[in-house]
Amino acid sequence: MAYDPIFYLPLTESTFYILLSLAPGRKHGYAIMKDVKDLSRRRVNLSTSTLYTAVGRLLDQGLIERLHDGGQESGPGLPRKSYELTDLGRRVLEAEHVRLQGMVKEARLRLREGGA
Amino acid sequence: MKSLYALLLYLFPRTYREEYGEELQAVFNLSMDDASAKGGFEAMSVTLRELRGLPYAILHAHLRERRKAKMAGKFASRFDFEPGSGKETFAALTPFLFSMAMVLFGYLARHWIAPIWASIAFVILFWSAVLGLFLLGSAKGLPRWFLPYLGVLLAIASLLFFNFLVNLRLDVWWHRSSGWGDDFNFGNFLWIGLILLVFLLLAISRSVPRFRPFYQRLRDDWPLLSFLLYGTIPMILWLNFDDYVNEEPFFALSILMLTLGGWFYLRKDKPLNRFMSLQIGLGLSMVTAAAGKAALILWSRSQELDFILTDELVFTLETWLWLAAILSLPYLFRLLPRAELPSQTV
Repeated sequence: MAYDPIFYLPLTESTFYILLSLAPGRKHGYAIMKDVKDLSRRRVNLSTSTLYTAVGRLLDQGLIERLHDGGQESGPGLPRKSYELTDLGRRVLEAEHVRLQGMVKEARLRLREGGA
Repeated sequence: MKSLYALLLYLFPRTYREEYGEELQAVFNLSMDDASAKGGFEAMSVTLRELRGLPYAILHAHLRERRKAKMAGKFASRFDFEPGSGKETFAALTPFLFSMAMVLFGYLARHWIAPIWASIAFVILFWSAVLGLFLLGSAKGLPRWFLPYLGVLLAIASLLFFNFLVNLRLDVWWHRSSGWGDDFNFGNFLWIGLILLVFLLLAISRSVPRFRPFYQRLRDDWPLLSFLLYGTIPMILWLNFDDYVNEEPFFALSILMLTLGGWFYLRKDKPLNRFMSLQIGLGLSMVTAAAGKAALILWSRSQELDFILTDELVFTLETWLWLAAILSLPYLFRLLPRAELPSQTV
């Protein structure tokens, strides 16, 4: 069912970074965890269990899907399952991107007015 | 540490462990390996991070499992009616069938004095069934079969709203201030109230996150809202009759026509066919009501026969047109643009 992405907004910071991490393509759990840490400049440091709580919720909401192979990064010791954005997940991420851009633009304008 | 983590994983529910346990362990092992390679401080930091995150995750997983079990439980699945199935049809048409039964029971009770215990038992059975199905439908996330029940609720709310306006003597105020005299039928406020309530329902389901999936269903399948509104009609028919002796058989027949419209609605796939089923059911019902009233007036041999007959038929036609228009509102709702995303600004 095609839900409106706007219903899912605003995203929490960790959800935003998890979805953003999956934007270029599928990843397994550990790659997501490292990517989220890098993307957030170490501000969002997810534990394994917190990551999978979020992953479970995103799966339930249909924003990501689970693939039963590790993708290109599969190898010994790596999880055998990977995750990928669904079409809805991508649209939600784009919607959040636009929302954040709008906020930044407004903030920039107001701060400029205040500084003038 | 890895073994301790494997033990701690047993604190998660079994189904969750089966689904994510292997991944949790693999990701934890990789985190620990990476951290250990960077030194003792980093390993300690990762251990603390992992232990800190566990209690919330375990609690959340248990709550999630409980929620899932509740939804998939025996009680719930018994009432997950397959669309188009006999059970769904019966549940959806119950408000109509019960209205019909009530009318006929009232008629029979008048001619054949029913024992008091039978009347009490019937009333208790009626309200228990309606209330039970109402609560069940609410708990099941407002499935399709439940929508006519919401329609009944909407009709009751609309009547209360209408009575509120009448009690405020707005009709007197209207006639005095507008200068329109009797050109404007104050009864039209009943319909305006109903339309306002439909918009209120949409606004609430659109803005309350819990009800958004319901709003989305109404947007994706617009005749659902028509079916909801169809549930208001038995009560409106009751207002339409309510004057004549021996009107009950015609009243019951009108509701039977509505039931047939509902039955076809539940069996059609295409939205337009479903919508037309409801409009045809309404049309047949109103024609039956008009014919019934005409027959009753002619049999009564009233002194003002022509006047009453014309007045009643015009009133029935007016009711029909209003209801047909209200049932068509969802079609316009379908034409509204979908929730727009903020425009690209940078």
